[in-house]
Amino acid sequence: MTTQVTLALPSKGAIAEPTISFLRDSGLKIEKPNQRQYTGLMPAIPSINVLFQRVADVLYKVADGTAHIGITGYDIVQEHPHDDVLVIHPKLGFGHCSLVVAVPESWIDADTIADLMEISLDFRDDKRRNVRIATKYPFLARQFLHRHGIHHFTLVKAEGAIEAAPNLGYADIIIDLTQTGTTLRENHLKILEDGVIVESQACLIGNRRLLGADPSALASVRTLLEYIDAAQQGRGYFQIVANIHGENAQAIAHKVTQNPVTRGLQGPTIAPIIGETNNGTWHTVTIMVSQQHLLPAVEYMRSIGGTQTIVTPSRYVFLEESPTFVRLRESLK
Amino acid sequence: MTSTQSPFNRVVGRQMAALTARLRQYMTYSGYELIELPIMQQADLFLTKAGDQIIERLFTFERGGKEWALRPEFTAAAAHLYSRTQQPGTIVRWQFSGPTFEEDPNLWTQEYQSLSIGAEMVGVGSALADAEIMAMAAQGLSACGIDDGSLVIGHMGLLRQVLSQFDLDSRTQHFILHQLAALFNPDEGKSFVLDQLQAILYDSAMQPAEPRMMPTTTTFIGGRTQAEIERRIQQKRQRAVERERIAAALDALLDWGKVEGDAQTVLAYLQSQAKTPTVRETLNEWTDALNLLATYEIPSNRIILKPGLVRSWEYYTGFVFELYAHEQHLGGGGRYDELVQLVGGSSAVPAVGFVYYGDKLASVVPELTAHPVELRIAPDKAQDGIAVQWAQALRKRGVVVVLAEGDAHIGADGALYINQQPYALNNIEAVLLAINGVNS
Repeated sequence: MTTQVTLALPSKGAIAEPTISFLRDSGLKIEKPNQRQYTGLMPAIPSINVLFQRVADVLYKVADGTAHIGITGYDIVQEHPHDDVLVIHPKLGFGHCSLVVAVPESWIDADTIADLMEISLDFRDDKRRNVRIATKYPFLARQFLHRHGIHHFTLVKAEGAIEAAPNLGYADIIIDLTQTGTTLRENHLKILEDGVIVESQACLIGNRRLLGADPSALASVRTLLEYIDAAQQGRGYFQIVANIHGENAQAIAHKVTQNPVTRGLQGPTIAPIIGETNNGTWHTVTIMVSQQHLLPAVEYMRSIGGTQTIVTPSRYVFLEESPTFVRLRESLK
Repeated sequence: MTSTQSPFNRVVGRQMAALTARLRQYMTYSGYELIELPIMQQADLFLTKAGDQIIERLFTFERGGKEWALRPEFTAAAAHLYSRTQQPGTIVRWQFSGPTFEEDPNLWTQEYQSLSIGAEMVGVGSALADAEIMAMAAQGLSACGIDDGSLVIGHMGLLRQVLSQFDLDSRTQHFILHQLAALFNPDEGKSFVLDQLQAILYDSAMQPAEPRMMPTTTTFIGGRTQAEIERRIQQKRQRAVERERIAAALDALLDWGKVEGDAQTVLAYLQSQAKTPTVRETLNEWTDALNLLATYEIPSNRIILKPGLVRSWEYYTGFVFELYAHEQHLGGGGRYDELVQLVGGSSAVPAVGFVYYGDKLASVVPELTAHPVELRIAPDKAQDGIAVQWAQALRKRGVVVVLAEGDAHIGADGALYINQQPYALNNIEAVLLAINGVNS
């Protein structure tokens, strides 16, 4: 009997829409029969049901087993470590942000965490109070600060516009998420040079207990990961098809593989072109190249006589097995 | 290492209970009153003067916006209790025993909790007090059947005084003291510590040639004034020119730290190195305490002086010591004259104390469990009432009675049968004689 796997997705917040787009671009379109309901379907994998939750609640639903898997922010997973939650895919490639320590720009004597350590002692010696830090990430903040020798501080729990806390006077510095740093600068704050606590992006998480105990659920997750991995691989590759004149396929292959960027994933595919005016010396060469090598590859193909070059993006690149699933299988052992 | 060392193992647990009872009784003979201290307190209490090694393992959690910790030790909590309940100068002798906690499983027990047993004497700053604590710690081992324990003794106060000769600012001294363990560790040493200090005390951007200017448009937020920020910049510049003195201070500390040996030899060497009257005076006080140890009949061949001994907790201000036996580190302590004030006291109060690592100690002491006289009386539905009467009567005479199949049963005549011999309830003395036979 096939287990229905529940996939928890963020219903709102910064990564809600990008999550739906990411899945759609991976060939995993989500259908939401009723906009007012918190459930959805994934037609490409009928054994997966979708449950929409607030981004933080995605983690809790996976942790308590309500959902088998979920997509949430890596920062949230790090802030609320849970024995039953495992990170299946840490980098889905969207929702990038960093959890950082930011201090007032006016603290021109503070560039590093070591500076902050000494300033925290100054607060204690001179002001008889701890430095106050506004954050929504008390666990990561404490762990990071203690690891860097900062032991005397008071965390001010805050929701909403954390970056305004020093201006409003209820905190001295902040530990918060930032994408570009613009909001921090607008609030007269600067990030310490070594003050990045977590580099975060959207990640796929799973319930270790549920996935480990149910091969059927794991099979559905495998299908999901095949799509995600193949689409992620595909986003980075283009197929180049070019016609090249040469004595024979071997001679053309020799020329094409002289340059590392045109060797393809395994090597070029070369086929003769059949035509009345062609005496068997024209061939079609097909290779896969990574995005960063696209133009150098086209240039090289031209230089060895390539013409009528066609470039098409690849939707999926399936490897021998989904690398993410291989790692998941290992971590469940 | 196996989990058989766990205090939750029944046999080990019984041994630890016996050990605790034995040491409690032993410390009571010296006037140490047993106190109870909270298992959970605000983390700030333990973060004050804890070394990094301790802080990394502190078991903390958050409630009501505050950071709490399960106690990793007793001393800070005892100092806090003193600051809240005693007038400065009051002399207290306290002993404690109970679980302490750390975030990672203890390497020895594989549990998150360990047993600590120890004592604190607060309000006395004499050589006599130092000797009393060291002697009690060492002879407590003998009371548990360990006669070959050794004392390794160092002196944080001397190291502080050596450091103070270099006229470094108080923050620099603080950071150097914080790095002492690394300085004396052959794998880290002077260059490692200099690198650490480089990162903490000054940076390349703070060279005198590159003064930083405060922009005129700056908005001052974050609880610091322009004057405070400029003062710190000035301090960092000042430190940049102190580097040579810092290196010289580290060399001097290393000189003191490398010495190790019997008390007479080491003290003679240190006296020859002492450059200031303060250092000489501290050495004299230390010598007095060590001489008193001889009066306590601690054999001199069981004492090793090691001026570079550094313990994990940074609150020590005077002598420090560690206890060893059977190649195990079984405990340690020392003098901590600033802690009471640091945790809330109105003034500095001299204090000294030590702790035994109960789990390790329980594993090396000989069997301590004194089995009480125990009798098992088989229950019988028809005679349950009489069995309970027998049990209660014997328990009142100090016999452990378990109502279970075993040594005795109640006959149809209501008598207690032990080895087929009947005993009447009005002849309890005869039963006691018979029970001693069963248990022997």
